[in-house]
Amino acid sequence: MLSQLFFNALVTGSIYSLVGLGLSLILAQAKFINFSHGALVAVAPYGALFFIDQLQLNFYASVSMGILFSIAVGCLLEIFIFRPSRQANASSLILLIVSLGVYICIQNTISLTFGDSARSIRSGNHTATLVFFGGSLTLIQLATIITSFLATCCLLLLVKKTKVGAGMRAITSDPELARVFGININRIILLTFAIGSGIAGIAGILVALDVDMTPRMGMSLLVMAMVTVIFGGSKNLIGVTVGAYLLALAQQFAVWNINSQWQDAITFLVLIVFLLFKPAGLKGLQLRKGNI
Amino acid sequence: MAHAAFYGLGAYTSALITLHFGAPFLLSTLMGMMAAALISLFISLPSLRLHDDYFVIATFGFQMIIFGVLNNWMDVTRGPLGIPGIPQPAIFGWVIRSQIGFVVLSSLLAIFAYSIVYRLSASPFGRVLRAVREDEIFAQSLGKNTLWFKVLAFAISAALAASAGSLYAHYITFIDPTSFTIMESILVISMVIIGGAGSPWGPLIGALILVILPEALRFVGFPSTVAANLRQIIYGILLVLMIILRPRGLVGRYGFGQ
Repeated sequence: MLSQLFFNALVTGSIYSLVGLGLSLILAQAKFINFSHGALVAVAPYGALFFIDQLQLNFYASVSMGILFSIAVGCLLEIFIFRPSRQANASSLILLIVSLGVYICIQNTISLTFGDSARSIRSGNHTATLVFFGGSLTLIQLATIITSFLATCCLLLLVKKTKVGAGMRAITSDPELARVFGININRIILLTFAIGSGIAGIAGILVALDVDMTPRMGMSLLVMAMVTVIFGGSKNLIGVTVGAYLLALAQQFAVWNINSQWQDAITFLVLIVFLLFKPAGLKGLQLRKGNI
Repeated sequence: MAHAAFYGLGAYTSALITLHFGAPFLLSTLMGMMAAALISLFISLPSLRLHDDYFVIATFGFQMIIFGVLNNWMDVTRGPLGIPGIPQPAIFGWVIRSQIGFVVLSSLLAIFAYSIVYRLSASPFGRVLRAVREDEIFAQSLGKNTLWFKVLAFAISAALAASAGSLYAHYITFIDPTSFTIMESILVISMVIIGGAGSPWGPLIGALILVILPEALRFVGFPSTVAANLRQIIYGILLVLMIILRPRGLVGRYGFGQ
């Protein structure tokens, strides 16, 4: 039983960290909490559904197109909505509200087009289950864990070792100074949006393959991702990943000991307590107002 | 983002008090308002010290917690089953049943709420709040305990939301948690943004626009499922357009830190 809980936490934590990493990158560089990130999670599987249903594409091609679609939407949002707002000196609160409006539009467009009930893109040949150490994992769940691990490693490599990553770190710490040094902020932020949207899309596809999809799937994942970003601190990718798995573990224990209906409420209680006593995040940024 | 939570708390508290204690409408409403104001302390005291964005997340979390409580505490709130059979408002023996009656009641309550807000805003309390909005650190340097002012403002706003909830409960005579979700909070925020913050007419105009619009849509004849989603899309687009093009809103005086 315990090992099953642990496996569940691994799977859920992997999804949270995929979404949280993208959110955290965008927060660190574009300096706002992007609610539309949650919508991008749902865009990929529904995009894949479109390609499977309407264009009769095969499974792998549709999934890839779904992820590409997610990336495209994310980039379009950045180019046409967030970048102009940034250039007009919008505050982070304004950007947050804008992203909220965008989320509403995208989620309801998905509802309009595909309906509110759960849809599936499972193709039937991925249902094999592995059993070890007393717990079971489906193939998809295993793929989720591995994908998340790979994505985290690639992202860390990108940020720490490449020139582009150095640009990202520069923008995170001081955008004006980065601009003075000739770093093309818009291009790097666009890349960040592309990467973030891509991994969010991958997360969406993995979730859809595991438990089917609904238009609202993005919101609940987004909320958990926000919690992980707060736990980890927005400038600390490893902190976000650790936070994601810790959150998932805490949720599994809560489900085990307390009625699972209270799960969400407990998650947020933990968040608020966390904000009270450790507002700087695990290793992260300064959250309190009025500290100069 | 917790406004729907207080709206819901007001509705549930008032409904339960009217149902279990037979209290008259005004008394239940008052109790609902006090309950909401007290509960608001649980979220405002810890979170108002946080930076803007994180305060939003904290209130978001609080909204989810309250929704969880309303939806799961079967013994008191009957969870998703809701509370049916709420008596219509009885004010000093005069029971309000007709539409006109409710229009009068709602308008009176709205005018009451407005007068409270207006008086506060013109008072020294209101001046300090404006100072905090413009430059919090400066207000602190003048010796004002800004946290206390913000907590009080938050509690007042919670109480007002609760009074609306109480009216809602007694008007529809049935409440369940689905009326008090995060989408309601976002709707209210949209009304304030579209109409404009910092002005007494802003929320009124915002509310008028966002309530009349779906009713007008009904005449176009979309099927109801399509209409619901379309309505939300229009809200979203309006929100995005307004906050980008005119963050002050139609008649507001505050641009959210622009």
